[in-house]
Amino acid sequence: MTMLRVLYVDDDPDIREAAELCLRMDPDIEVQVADSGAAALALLATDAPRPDVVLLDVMMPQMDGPALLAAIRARPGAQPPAIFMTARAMPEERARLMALGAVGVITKPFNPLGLAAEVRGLVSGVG
Amino acid sequence: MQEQMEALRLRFLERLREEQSLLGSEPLTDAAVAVHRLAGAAGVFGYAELGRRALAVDQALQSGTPPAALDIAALAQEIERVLTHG
Repeated sequence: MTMLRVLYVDDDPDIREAAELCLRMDPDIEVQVADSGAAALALLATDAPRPDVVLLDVMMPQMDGPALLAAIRARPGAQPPAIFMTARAMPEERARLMALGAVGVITKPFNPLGLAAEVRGLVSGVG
Repeated sequence: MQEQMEALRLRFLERLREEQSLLGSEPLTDAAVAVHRLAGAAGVFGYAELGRRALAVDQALQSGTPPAALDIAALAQEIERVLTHG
């Protein structure tokens, strides 16, 4: 399967580590994690290979998911597609997040056994 | 993988015990953050009912209306049940 680099950003350590474990069930997914928008931007500013997709928790202190996506989009060069993760996935909220330019919205709680496939499915629909 | 998820589940329960006292106490922002966290995380660790009840309260908070007392009571009851029975 195609190698996929994922950057997962969530301030909740329980859910962040669970998501990391679940994504790693796919041996061809490489996972980086960040616990805040600032940490994610710092990671993206390093020489490390760029992620193919960023997964962003919507509700985070200081910089929430939408603000982080805007900051990522403001960086020079092509930027990876984004997927929002949220417990508040009512249709109007989902539409609002998609209108910000996300390629998908994954509802929390996510299915631990299906998370990797769901991410791959959303990324494969890009372009 | 299973062992690691089990370790995370136990840590989730530890935090749940700490957060139990937040419900119904000041400041309300702390309670709201805890409720939102539960709405997103509980189901991942096998506590779907806890997640549903937290989401009911979280959705009310999001819409700017005070959560129904019944919903808060149901959430508190489910937290107690989970902490008692695992």
